[in-house]
Amino acid sequence: MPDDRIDLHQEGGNPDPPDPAAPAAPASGVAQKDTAQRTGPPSEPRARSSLRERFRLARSPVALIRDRFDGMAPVSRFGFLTAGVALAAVLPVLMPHITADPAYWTSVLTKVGIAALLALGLNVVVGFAGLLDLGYVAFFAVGAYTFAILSGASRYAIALTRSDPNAFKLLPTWHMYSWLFFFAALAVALVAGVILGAPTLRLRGDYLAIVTLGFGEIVRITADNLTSVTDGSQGIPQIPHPALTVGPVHYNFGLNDAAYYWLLLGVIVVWILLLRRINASRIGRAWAAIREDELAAASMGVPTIRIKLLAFAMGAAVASFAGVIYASEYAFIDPGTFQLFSSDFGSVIILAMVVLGGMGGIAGPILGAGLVIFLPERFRFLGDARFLIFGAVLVIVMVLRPQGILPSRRRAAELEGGVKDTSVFEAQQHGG
Amino acid sequence: MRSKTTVLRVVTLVALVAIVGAACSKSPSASSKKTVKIAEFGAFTGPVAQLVIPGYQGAKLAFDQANAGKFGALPVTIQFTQEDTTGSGTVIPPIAKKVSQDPSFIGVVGPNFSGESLAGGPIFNSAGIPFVTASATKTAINQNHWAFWFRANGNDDEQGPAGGDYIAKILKPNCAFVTSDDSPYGTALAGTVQTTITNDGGTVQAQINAVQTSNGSVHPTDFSALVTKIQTSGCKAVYYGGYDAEAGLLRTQMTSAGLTDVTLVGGDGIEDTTYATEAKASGEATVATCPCGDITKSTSPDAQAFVKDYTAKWGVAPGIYSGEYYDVARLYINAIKAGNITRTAIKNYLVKVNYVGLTKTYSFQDNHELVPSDVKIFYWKDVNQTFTYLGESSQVLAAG
Amino acid sequence: MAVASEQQVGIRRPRIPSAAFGWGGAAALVALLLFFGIRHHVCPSNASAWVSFTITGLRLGFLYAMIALGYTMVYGVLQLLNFAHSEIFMVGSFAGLYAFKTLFGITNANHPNGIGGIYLAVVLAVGLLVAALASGGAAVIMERLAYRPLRRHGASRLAYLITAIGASLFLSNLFYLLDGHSHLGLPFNWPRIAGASPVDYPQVMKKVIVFRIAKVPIDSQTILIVAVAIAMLVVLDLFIRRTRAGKGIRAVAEDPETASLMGVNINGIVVMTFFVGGLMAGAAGLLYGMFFTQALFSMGFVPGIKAFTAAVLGGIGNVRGAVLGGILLGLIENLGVACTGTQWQSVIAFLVLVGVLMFRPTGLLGEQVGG
Repeated sequence: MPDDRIDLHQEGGNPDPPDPAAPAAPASGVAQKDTAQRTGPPSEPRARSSLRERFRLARSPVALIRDRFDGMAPVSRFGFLTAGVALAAVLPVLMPHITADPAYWTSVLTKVGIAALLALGLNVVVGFAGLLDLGYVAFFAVGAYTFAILSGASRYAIALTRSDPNAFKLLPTWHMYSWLFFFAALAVALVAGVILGAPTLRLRGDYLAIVTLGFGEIVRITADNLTSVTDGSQGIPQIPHPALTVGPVHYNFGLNDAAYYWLLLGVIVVWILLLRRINASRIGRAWAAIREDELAAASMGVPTIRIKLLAFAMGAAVASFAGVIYASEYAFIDPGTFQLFSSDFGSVIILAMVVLGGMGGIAGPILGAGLVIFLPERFRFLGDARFLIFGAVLVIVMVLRPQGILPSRRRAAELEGGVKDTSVFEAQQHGG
Repeated sequence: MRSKTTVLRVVTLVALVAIVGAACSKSPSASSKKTVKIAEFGAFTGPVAQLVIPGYQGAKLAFDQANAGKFGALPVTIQFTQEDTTGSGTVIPPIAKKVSQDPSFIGVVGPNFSGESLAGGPIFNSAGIPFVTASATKTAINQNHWAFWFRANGNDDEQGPAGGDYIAKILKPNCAFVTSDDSPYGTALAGTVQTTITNDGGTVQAQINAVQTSNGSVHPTDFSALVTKIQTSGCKAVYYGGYDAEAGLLRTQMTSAGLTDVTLVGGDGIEDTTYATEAKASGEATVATCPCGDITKSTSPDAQAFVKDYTAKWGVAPGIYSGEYYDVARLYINAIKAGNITRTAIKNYLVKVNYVGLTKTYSFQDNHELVPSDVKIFYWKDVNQTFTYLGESSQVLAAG
Repeated sequence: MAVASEQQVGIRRPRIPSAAFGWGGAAALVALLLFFGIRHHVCPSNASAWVSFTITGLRLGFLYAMIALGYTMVYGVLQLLNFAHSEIFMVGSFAGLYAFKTLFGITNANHPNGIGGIYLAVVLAVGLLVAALASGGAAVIMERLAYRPLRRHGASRLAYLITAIGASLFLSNLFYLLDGHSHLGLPFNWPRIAGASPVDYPQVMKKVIVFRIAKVPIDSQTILIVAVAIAMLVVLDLFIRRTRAGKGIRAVAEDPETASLMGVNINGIVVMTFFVGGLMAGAAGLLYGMFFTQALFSMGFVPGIKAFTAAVLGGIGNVRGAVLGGILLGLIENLGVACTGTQWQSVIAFLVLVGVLMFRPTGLLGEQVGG
């Protein structure tokens, strides 16, 4: 950050620490070095050893598993990952055996899947490239609305609202080519990401935050008022469910949540694999460089605007994909879904998932998404009070573990080992 | 040091397992007596809950009376549950699926609002569970041709014209300013009113969607810009499609901006004590249309008994849609009493039903709307900060 | 200083001619749009409508300015986007309401036409004081409980942002639940302070028409809002420029490390900043509640977002910028809807913000506390 002011956030008066990188699989030597550093005895808390301090520094059980995981041979690591995905995949099948409300919890599971995809997408923007985006839900909305419009559902909805007696003739149906709409929505979101990003990405962090917040509101209000295209606040019902025809087999996703869950799982796995490759590539290093010191990166010849734009566009594409799946599963969208503070997928809630879970990694945002969606559903019986608790939990978790529950290795190392030394150390390790 | 950290880890792990485990534990069903469940879908929390709770209380009263044997012996016990949608189309699908897949649920009361009806309808319908609303009035819902959906009340095509006709034929202003919030309910109603006034030969300036409530989750308090727009239009009548809380403030701010001679007209969303208490003296002479009659003014002994029982049970007088949802509950109770305890049987019963309820006669057309002659729209007028009953719309219009 | 060093290190900043060109172009575009709007009867052509929108805009603008100060000062000192500031504003509104109701026993029933004379001045002064102190106190408590631990741990900015969002959710939902019923399975009823529905503000001061501009009535409450806002803004400006504490705030905003080396008590300055920001928001809360006749748990959301926008528009961290940004935003929002619908209010505000940031990436006046 081109800022000569000293950041008070650091007690020692250090500049903002570099946001976590997830050095997914850089040179394996570096990875092992990281691991060795982490599996050693946790550094003694310097300040004091109150319980709170220990909680702050404690590594969660999942982090322990991850440490083991990193120490494994590539083959067993692959096996382990496959087993994890397989376990996630059979969850809907196991549902009837672990709960009395399988349909409900499968539905919640799909919601978690959508949230996890969104969180992983926002993580690229916030965690990898270090850009604060408070209007991320806009791209989710763009995806959902593009799909609703292309599939003909909005035309049907407008006819309904106008009480057109022939409206039912416009009832949209699913064709094989409708799968293309998924990618059309992705393209539209990419364009939207570039349109928003190109003029605004030269702005510094917090200015970008308010501009993106504004963009999110503009998209929502436009969807609310452009009644001739989106049917406004009436919302768009009857968005067709996807169907798949392979030879003689015909399968309609219909209201079967498990099918959407598997679709999401597939998309998430592909996205994670892609992300790990990208993050280990030039682009990933460029993101890390920009995040840590934009000026230095620029002077080293990193095309900062283009690289930031890439992060923005990738985030937008992922969000639009989530939006399309959401629209086709719920079969109904309205502008209210895309509010800033909407308790499900609002921009700040997605950001909370990412930060709560731990930025910059892959497990962190997924965990964050799981908690932020699951807990309010679990405590639904508390009624209105659950948002009071949610707010308090956000504050308490952040106070106790500012790095998030499951931060990327690098961030944890930074916070455990003293900021200054580690970042210098890391910088040397990665060597530019 | 190290051991303490380990303890902490174990505690965290145990806590996580406990939470997940608690979520997944099966609740024991130890009842030996046959019980069927009926769920009401509505906003029980959130800023629009006050439009749902009186209706719920009416239905709950009916089911409690039924279980106590007031309507004769029932083959089963009815358990009436609340499902809180907060009025949102995003929240309803998981809950709708939960209820639909649970075979002990044989019917649904609601959803209360139009947006959530559109979002939840496909789920209920494909699960084949009857769902009867008395307050989701968007006309277009009936175009879905859902076999299991029933609307036990009029729709905006009946209420909207009544509002428009009142402005065009009774108030006869120089022009009417038609505005609304951004709810599916408000915009649809205002749209119909605009058409009606134009068809009646009146002049309309429309600004639909003007009040941004983010589908009910935000309550705006600053109406200055809208008031200035109304002022600039010079119209002497304003139609507001939307809910009580905003309408009350709009009225107050219109009056304090000097628009004392402008009459506000609204729909059933403002026909509520919230509006009257909020607008205070400035609300005087506001007119509201409602497909709800005043149950407390009814002279029929059944209605008077209902008002007495309701007040005894809940400690307040019946509110908006209390009587209508009591009737919906009675439809279910009658179906069950006749031995229909499966979803399809209840649906088949409702298709053929002809029941004289507290508020109107219930018999459904092919599209599962009420027979039009059964639907009555009533005018209400704010006099001394309470809505007083003006009469049934056709009579008031005929009297001029 | 920040701006100067940015130039040194070579961040691209447009030179004045291009900015002037941009502003000129924008002004010409607006003038052209207005001309065609009025000609085609899209925009109102009578002067009184424009005057009316201007007055509405100014009134709102001064309120935005007062709230924006809290955002901007906290940002200047901590670089924290304090999302919970909108709830601090809400707390002030409720505090003022109960000051009127309980301290003076004024209700709509016993004073339907408000009060007058010296008594009115006393009541208003005490009400403003209570509201301001309550908000200031709430802001300080929030700093102590939520932000200071983070500061001690050297958390990232995002951790602050999420904490602020959490605090905001907590406060607004707390007031939502303070409705006199039992919640969370606790065996007692929560105090009845706010709740789901709005609480009526007692009409302390009747809105009487004082004078007219182009037939547009200017009421007494509008004058009160503008007068109180101007007085408080002037006092704040003097405080920041002239007093020792103000210098401390400026020093910490400029360079906390050097400031602490020079013997400035950083914690004290941070608390002071939150407190002063809270004071302004509390006073704004009372005026807002009084003018719009009610207080509600979620009332802070819209003005909060707008004031935040105003602070950025003026140059976040810059006190005078926040005032300028607030007033401009209020005006733009209201004049902007003259030719469109009120539903586009926020869209217009945000588009103007983006437009301004294109030409001036650090807001209209740049970003320094104290200018």
